[in-house]
Amino acid sequence: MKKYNLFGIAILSIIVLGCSEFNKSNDSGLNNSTAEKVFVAPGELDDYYAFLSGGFSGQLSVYGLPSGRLFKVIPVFSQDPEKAYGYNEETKPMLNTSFGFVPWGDAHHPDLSQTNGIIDGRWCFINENNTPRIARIDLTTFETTEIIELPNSAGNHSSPYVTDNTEYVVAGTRFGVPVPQRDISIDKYKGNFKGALSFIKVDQDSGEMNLEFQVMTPGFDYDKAHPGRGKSHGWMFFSTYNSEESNSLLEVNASQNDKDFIAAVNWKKAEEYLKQGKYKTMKTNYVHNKYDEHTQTATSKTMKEVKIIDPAECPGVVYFLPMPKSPHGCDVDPTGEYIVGSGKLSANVTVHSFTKMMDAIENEKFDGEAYGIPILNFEDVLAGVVKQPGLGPLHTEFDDKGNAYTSFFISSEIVKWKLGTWEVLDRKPSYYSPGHVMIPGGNSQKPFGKYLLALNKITKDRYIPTGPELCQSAQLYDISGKKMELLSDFPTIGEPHYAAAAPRELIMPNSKKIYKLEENHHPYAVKNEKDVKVVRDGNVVHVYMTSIRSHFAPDNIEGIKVGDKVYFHVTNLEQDFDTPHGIGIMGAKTSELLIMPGQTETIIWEPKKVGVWPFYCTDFCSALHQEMQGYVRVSPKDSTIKLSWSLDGE
Amino acid sequence: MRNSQKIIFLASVILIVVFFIPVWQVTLSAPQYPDPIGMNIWIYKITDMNPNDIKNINLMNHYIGMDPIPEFIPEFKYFPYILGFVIFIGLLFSFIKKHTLYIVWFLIISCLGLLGMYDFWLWEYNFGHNLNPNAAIKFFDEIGNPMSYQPPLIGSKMVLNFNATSMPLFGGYLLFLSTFLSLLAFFIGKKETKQHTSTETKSNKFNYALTFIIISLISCEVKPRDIKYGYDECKFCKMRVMDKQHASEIVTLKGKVLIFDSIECMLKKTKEIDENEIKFILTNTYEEPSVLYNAYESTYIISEDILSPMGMNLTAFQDEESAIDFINHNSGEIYNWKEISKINLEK
Repeated sequence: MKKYNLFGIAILSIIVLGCSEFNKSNDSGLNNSTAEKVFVAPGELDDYYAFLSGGFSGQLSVYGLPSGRLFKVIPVFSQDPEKAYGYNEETKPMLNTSFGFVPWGDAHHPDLSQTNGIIDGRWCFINENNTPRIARIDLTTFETTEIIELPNSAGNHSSPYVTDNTEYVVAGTRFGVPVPQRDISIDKYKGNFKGALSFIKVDQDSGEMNLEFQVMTPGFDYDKAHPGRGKSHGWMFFSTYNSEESNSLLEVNASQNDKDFIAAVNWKKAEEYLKQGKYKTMKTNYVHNKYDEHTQTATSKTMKEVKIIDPAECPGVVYFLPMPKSPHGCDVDPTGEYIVGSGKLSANVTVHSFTKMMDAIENEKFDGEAYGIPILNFEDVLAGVVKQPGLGPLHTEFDDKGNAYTSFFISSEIVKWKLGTWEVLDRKPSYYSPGHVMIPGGNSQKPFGKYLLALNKITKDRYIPTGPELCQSAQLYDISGKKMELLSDFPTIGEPHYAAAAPRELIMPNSKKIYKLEENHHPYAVKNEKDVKVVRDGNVVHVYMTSIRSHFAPDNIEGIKVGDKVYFHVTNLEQDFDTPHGIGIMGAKTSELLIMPGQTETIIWEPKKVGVWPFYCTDFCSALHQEMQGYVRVSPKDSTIKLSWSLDGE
Repeated sequence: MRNSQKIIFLASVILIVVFFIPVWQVTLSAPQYPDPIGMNIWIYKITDMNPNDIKNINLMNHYIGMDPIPEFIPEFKYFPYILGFVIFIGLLFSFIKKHTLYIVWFLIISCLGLLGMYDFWLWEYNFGHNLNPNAAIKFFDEIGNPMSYQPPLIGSKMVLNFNATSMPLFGGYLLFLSTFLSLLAFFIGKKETKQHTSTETKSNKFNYALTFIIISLISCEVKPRDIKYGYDECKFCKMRVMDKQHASEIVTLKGKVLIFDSIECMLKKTKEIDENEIKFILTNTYEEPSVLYNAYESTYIISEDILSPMGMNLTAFQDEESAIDFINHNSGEIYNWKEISKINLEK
């Protein structure tokens, strides 16, 4: 019977995608006035900053809304030769993990910091799925400033979701794994594999993250998470699938149970247990990478311990709320009352009530338990069901008028429905197969309900083709009226898995223009052209170099020998907005450097051939940019030529 | 004291301010510099208009071979002494009932002012004409003479791609004002010497007028300012001000602006300040978010249906009727300013 159902869905999805030609002709003929709604005239500014995850590119992109213009790709988990991230000596430690240097990551969910349940524009957090990590991006510099690895976790997917006052960033594990990791037969999954839910505390001044504790739950797959808001502040909700705990052919074996769970975790209660000392300290191994603003250099530190809370021994920390059919999305409305679960194989969207949940806990309306964790009775926590809204519901966001917007992957549409009455108000197709939807502030207590962005996985015929590999896309809808209106779609980098957005007023005033030279405490910084030098220590050579319009100092260097390890430490002496300088050196096996005003960056160059090799500024900095160049003379290994350096013969 | 004496006294005293503020400003703007770069000239130093401006002006100028802007010029050494001397004799003259002295003071200050302007022009001339022959960029005019880049003495002028503007700043205007006042003192003094019979009431009226001018000069600074959302911090709870419907502001008589993220925070603060010290109390309202409105005239509601940042769910309405209308359609209770300012805030 089950198999027939799946077969039916497959057929339906083929029909739906097949019908797209027909659908499109209905909707791509946009009204003329629609264009005006997304047109941001030359010189005008967008209203919103949107942070779109780059998915398997490992990066985070910054777009403007409503225009859909791309402003910056912030490198987070992957090396980026454009900005030398992960190539220069300063940022290499950012990509260190307990597995060593990992040049790539799979970035999924950006989420913005909040104060009182309202996004505040201080930091953006984003998770890495493959080598479980959470990164923090500072929104004054739009640079990755911290990455923390998560032990006992695998497939870090239900992360990083931010609580009302950014007390915690949460990170759940999608794959059950043996904890601690060990050599064990895979069919011993049941009972031996665990799901670690990590709670990362955030320092309110510095933003620094610290893995405070992990709640060690049964080895289900924790798919998505959402913090309680307002009245449910203090709770964290995770959707789970594979409550069957199967370890092979999950597409069938993990789809057997009629209901999986939403795990409700009371982190305030967990904090109490932590205070009482009711935790175990587990030896483990993970790294914590931090970029220091003062030295402009990152360091990587290995951490050895983590505090574990066992929910079976700490009653009241975890409850399971039954949820039909492998729920994916798990979303809490702005008031904190409704917990929306989207059973991705169910035809309905099921909503639980926080008030009812608290009542069920108080009156012990339980329907059994799993590994010592009480399962609440489904009927007693149910708030309502949105009936037959579409096929394959995934994620829900909210506006400021009590409406919810759910994406439907299989039927490729966005459905608007009303909280409380559960009636479907509107539906609009998306092109094609949206994953997440995003409303600026739509997962917080205060949504800015003007736009909705659908993040599509498939584009097929939407753009001029580029061979077999096509871009993915984002589609912007106006949701200020009764009916949603498709405004535009634009291609994205990598996979725009999830996104977060904020009004520009929250971020723009704090955006740094330059790094102040006097605050640069890089150990190899040179702040005055007169102090440049070249220093040899065995076969290691340090070049203390400066750049300013339109020359390097020094720009002639002699006395370098084959086999030397030459570090170019280049300080950009500019103190003017938007005047970066770059440097590319012939024969270098790393990337170029791109150095912002007041910054120092370091590139390593290991010359292999005798000769005179040029270097030049890679960023078109000024009218005499082409003249911004220099030479390094490389002599044979046994040469006796002394180190010397000069600028204009001096 | 005669009125003319008072004026010459005032003219001298306002010059003291000139020690503490810049007198002149030269700015450069271009399409690539939407925020102009510039320098402020004081009587004893040159400073950046915005941080690093002089460095950036020098960077631009080195392409066409102009000298860097000097950090110090000899004039800066003796300008403060000259100004001190002028103030000193001005004060001295104000104790002497002789209007001819005032015209002397006027002539001194005018001559010194003109000399100062000439000095500034000379400096600009040298700066714009004395160019490094090895400069990277050389321009020639139509007859083939090397182009010069002298900025204007006063006003605006295009210098290559830059619009150079040279204008007095507040200190400069004070110098002009002082010069004008000394001339005024002379004419009034002349009249007073002739008449000899100025009545007390006239003098009183004049005193009042003078006091009024001085007070209004000071108090014109006392005004509300726009709230920078996402940037300002609540003076009471120290949280960042985000909510455009509930932010509030107090302006004290001294012109101090206190900003709050919610009406409840503002009310709590009012308990700490003397009511007589307050010039304005303003709140955002339901009808026009982010527009500050007189708090005394607002109507207030406490309603579960509008959440306020600090949890009291207190919202202001400009219009009593729309508040009543809101309550009729939703939950909550209504208050006026008197009631709300007496309510127990710890609930």
